[in-house]
Amino acid sequence: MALATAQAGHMPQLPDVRRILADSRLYWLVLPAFVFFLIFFVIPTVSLFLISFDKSVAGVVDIQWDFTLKNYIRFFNRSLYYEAAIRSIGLAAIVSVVTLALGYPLAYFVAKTRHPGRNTFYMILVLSAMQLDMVIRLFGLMVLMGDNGVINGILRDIGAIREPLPLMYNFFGAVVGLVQFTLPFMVLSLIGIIRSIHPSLEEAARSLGANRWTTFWRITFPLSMPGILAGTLLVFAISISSYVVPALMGGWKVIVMPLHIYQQIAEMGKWQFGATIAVVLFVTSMIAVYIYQRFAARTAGGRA
Amino acid sequence: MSDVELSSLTKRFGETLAVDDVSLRVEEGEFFSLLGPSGCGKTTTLRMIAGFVRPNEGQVFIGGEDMTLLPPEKRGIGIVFQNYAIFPHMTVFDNIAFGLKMRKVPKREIRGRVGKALEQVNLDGYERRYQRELSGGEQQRVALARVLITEPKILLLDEPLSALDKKLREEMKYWIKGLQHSLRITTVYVTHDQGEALTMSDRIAVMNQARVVQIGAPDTIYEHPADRFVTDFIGESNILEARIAAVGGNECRIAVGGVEFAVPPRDGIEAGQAVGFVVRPERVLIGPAAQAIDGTRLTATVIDRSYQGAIIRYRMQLEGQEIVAEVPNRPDQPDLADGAEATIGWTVASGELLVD
Repeated sequence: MALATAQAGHMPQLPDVRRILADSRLYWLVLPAFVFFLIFFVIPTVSLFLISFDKSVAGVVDIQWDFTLKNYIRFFNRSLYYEAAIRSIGLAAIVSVVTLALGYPLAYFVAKTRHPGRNTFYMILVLSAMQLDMVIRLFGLMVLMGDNGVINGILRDIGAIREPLPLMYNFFGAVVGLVQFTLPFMVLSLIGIIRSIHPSLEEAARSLGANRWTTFWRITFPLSMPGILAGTLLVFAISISSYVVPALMGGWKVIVMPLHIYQQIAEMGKWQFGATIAVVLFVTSMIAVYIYQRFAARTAGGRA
Repeated sequence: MSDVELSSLTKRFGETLAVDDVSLRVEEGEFFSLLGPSGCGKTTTLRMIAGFVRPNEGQVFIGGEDMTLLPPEKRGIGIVFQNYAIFPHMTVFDNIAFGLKMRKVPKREIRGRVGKALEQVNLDGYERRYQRELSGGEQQRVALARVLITEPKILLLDEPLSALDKKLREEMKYWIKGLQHSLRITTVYVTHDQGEALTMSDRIAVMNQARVVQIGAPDTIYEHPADRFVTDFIGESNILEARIAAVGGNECRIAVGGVEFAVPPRDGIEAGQAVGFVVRPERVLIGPAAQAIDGTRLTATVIDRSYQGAIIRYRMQLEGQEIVAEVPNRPDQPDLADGAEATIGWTVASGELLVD
């Protein structure tokens, strides 16, 4: 008994030290990713942010520490640039909506497939869409949608059209390209959430007098809000920052912000102004995401 | 309120037969249980009544109307699930109001009726809570209120107590039965717990391997089980291997090892036939109690004694077979040590023959 009390009196200090040791041991797990992120993301992003305030000199990449707001004033005074910002948001928003509309039924179908073998097969099918490099897939789309492509060829052969339909090198083409690229991200975000909705919730709604359609809109859809939110935000972020798709599918006619950034930096050598556009792009998309999230959270009944 | 009739209901899932030719009738206002081990087809049967599963063969009638092909929302049923299925994105109020909204009941009327329903299940003041703020017992009562407010023709309960802890389960058992009794609502109750089924039901259908094995009142099922499965599944039982020694008129005697005694006769047996003899442990009397009754008296040896508080349980040897006796822990009962010899006995009516 005496021994036990002596030990008990001793105990409180020991676990504290151990706990701190154990905690710091856990931090080591984060360290490699943290260092990588710091070197290859935070530092370049911060320097980009800094040079966006620098005096614009063609060909100069270094930080000159000569800060001014001139680049920003120029951006917001030229319709060429701020219209690109609006176009970027519009494109990303439309792609998010279209991807959700196409992706939700697909994700629902896969999630409701209880047969384990078939389920794995569908998952592989969804993932296989992500296996080819984006540029290669876009060339495939060009073969399909070009003026002399498969679709226009067939329509011309059956006499439905005389002039080719403008399927690409325009806004429509960019949307199709981005939807094709982002659809798997949307579907994967949704499958897990839809699957986690217990079937008895839908059955309870049915037994209380709701038909399939009402049950979907009152139960299934609101309960998949976290997945819808994650999926649309992911698709929005990918779309608003995409350079390759608008460049190839839009044929430099759909001028979104990433194209301006590329042009300023790669073609004109104006790193400072390119950086300004990048910062505006980043801030705009953060604001758009914030507004959207507030709105969506309200419709989800405070659950998302 | 209505009765339920199932006629030759059969359901196959791929190769496996989940429900095989089940026919039964639940009377108006009756508390009817489907009792059986997991995988016996009781839940599938309930889900066919609800309309979530479409039978391969047979029909479902509710209130005399053929409901076999109707979707769940057109059957006028209410169902409470094992996990209660409270909509997590809605408040308690919206959960309970859901059925009324679907029926396009005016808003003002909904408010009043939801309030009354919450009172009925002792949850007034819970309107604005969410599912995550409710205990298991509260969730169950919300689930019941949500169903009862729609005044369903029949109430279906799918193992509603199995997720609760023991004490609450006991409490809810009587509470649900009381509620059902006062509403006189036709109820089909699915459970694997024989205690629940015996306490709550007016009648029980025992199911095994996709078929209904026996239908009857709790005392009939308990005291006159139809076969070895029911005997084994409902309560604890002694099944002794025996042989018919003599049959004639209203008398029947069987032999267990070297002893012979009388049992209640039953049809279709003949002398020399191998049978099972059933007697419940609480019907096996020991010592003076066994001497006092008019019936069978035998000598057995105690293998071991286990103290269980309110009762004392003896595992005994009788003619080379094992027999269990449970006697009340009372001063008028003998206290036997391991290895002791004792007189045991039971009334003739306490025994039951099993013919395989």
